[in-house]
Amino acid sequence: MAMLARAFSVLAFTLAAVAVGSAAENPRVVNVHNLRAGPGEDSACATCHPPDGAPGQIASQGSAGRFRVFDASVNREFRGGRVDLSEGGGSSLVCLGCHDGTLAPTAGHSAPSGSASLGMDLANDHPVGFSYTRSQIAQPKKLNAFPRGVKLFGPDQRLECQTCHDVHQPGVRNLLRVDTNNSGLCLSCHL
Amino acid sequence: VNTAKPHAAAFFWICLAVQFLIIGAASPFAQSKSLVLGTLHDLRGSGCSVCHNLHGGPPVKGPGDVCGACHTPHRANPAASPLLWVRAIRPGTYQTYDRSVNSEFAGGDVNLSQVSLLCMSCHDGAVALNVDFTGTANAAYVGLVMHGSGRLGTDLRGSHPIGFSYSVSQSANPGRLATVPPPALRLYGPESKLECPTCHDVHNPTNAPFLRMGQQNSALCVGCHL
Repeated sequence: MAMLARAFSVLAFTLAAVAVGSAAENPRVVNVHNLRAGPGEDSACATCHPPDGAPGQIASQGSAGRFRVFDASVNREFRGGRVDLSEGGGSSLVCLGCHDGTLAPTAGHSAPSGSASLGMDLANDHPVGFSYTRSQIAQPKKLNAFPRGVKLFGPDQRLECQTCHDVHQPGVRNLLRVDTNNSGLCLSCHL
Repeated sequence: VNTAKPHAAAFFWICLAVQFLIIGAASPFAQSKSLVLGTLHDLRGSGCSVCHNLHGGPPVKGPGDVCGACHTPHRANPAASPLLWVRAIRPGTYQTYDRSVNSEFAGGDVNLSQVSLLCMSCHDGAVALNVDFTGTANAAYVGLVMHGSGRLGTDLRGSHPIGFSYSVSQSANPGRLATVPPPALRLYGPESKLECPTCHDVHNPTNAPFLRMGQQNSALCVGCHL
């Protein structure tokens, strides 16, 4: 029992040391989303999360109505029902606050351009802002009932940008949750 | 208190059974898209060996994403967005099998639907297999133009007709065409049009060449042709 307690204390100490170490250079933002103007600016978070804002507030968030979305009007076989970017906590709108390509460059930061700028026509992008559950129930042979490695949001399991992307993820190409080798990411859902 | 435990256990086993039922029901179809890995529609890599068996061995595929040779999650060709297509499509450039080829053809107007145009974006042999609709080459995929038997060109008058209404054809020839094609085959749109993917399942190599059903005793042909 004493041995177990000792092992536990060693583990706790190690975890604490790791936590302190990572506070110095937070690995969660060591990626393309680290938009610090320079070494003098302390928080990589502030670009998206204003320190004086309400908890969870995001600096720039697009409004849903401006976007043309991928829904049944684009592909008749789409079964996700009504597409609404403002549901599911509006998590896709958080991304589109910058990635709609309309954000003016600010001091030290340039607006997303090239492949990172999606514009406001999302009809040629993978659908977001719909219930995966609803889609899956309508097409059980085409969609996995238990998607692997990706994240769905809310009680009706909505598919948003963050389903595939983890914006804080370091070191993964295109900040993806699942490696694309052998199309692992696509095949998480598509049967 | 004592009765709660058997109830909880029963609930657990019922949940497990339901889960297996769902997985079991889905299993004949599970991962059918992944069947494309290693096939001729898997264009990952460079050089001849991506498609051709050199020295009797299997084709050599590169690493990475299979789907990306045809599909893209972002910035797809706006002219072919329903399937998030990455290649250029060329409507209006194909000579089709119609009444001018065979006076008995009764399928009415012939217009390739988008699903067939997607196939032709590679199989007309006009553009290298790894060049997207913006003209940019993707180094992850083989950079050659379609050649050999897969290259149909732009003159499709020597291929089985596509882009016509099966139901129009069938009602004109009720004794020669099945009222409804075999369930494995697919017709497209409100006009029940016959297109490339009527016979071909591009992700599934089980019945070569990517056919939706076996050709033993010409089952595929006689499924429609009486």
